[in-house]
Amino acid sequence: MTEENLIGKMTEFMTALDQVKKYRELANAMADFAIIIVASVAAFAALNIIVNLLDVFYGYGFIDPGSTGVLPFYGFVVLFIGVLIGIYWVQRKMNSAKMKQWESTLNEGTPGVLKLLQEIQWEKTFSDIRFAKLGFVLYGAVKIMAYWIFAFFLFGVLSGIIGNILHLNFDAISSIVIPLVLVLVLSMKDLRYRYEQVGRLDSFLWELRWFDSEFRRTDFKA
Amino acid sequence: MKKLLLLLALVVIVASEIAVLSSFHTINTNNISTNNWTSGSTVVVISKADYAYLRVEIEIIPPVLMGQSQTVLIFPNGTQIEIPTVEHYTFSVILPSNGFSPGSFGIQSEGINISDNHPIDVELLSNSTVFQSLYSRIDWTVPPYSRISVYWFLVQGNALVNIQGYGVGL
Repeated sequence: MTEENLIGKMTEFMTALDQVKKYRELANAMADFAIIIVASVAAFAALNIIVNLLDVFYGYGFIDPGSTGVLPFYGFVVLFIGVLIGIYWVQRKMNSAKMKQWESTLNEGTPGVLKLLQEIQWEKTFSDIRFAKLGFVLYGAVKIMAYWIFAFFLFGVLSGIIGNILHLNFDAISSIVIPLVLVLVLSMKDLRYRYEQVGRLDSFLWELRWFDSEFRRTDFKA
Repeated sequence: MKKLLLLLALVVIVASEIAVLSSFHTINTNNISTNNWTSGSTVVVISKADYAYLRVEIEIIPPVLMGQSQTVLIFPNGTQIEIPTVEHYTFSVILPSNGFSPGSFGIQSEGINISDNHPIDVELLSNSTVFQSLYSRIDWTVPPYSRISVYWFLVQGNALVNIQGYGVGL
């Protein structure tokens, strides 16, 4: 193997590790994402309580106070903003992962490659990959759930409009199932990408384990 | 760990908010529609559980007959109001909460249909004498009647009565 090939392989490997670092940040941000989504639901419910109180005590007539299950427009806006902030926050966290810190060491050539390999904490890297895999899958699930909540309320608004214009009423099960199917269909590309990426992370983990054992057995002589 | 605790706290807050939202009610739509035509002597009975706060918005539109109104409102204290023909007569009835009242109950009688699930009620009765005689016979100091508030008034003559009521039972 020439030095050029070695550096090429090492660049590929370190880029993959950077990706793992990114996914690890994603896993860390997942809790934040869930907090932001639940907080936006709490904000919506709080706003709904305030509007209901204003209606009952001051007779403003903003909404029909008994229909607490129906989402008025302001609730839709609050949830939409919540989902947007959540996604923005996760992207920000992922982008904050420091990338390509190894580039200058790798420019040193073969000694740089050996230095980088020796600096890698293998057990921590394996653990990071497992954690990143979990976070990657869970973030996908939480994101779909957030879209589902949002789609459910959007469907509520739309079915209200349809009911008003065409006098058609959707039952409760349709209001749950239709938004879920819609979100799953629209997220199919993302789901496939996640499925493939998890498979890649698995192979990456096994290749690294093999490489680690080989690396430990080899004696390097200057 | 801190994030998990924060998430748990938020979930508890949302669950509590949903519980609070379930205490808001509209008047029983099974017994009354938004617009009701009344004729003769109709009694409007407004009732609520003692822990509930109730606001009822009432609009009375009398028909024009030979340029004169024939619609009169009669309140329990004896006040009588003749509704002018060209006006939509609007007023609010507010029955405030009497405070905390533990324990479940339910009343279903002439003009009153209240339960824990639905602590506010408005009903229109065409036979006002039956209600008035029942009302005068009830001992309002004895449970379950001591645990509700009732207000009523009479609509004498033809009118379109538009009623919207909502309340909160906390």
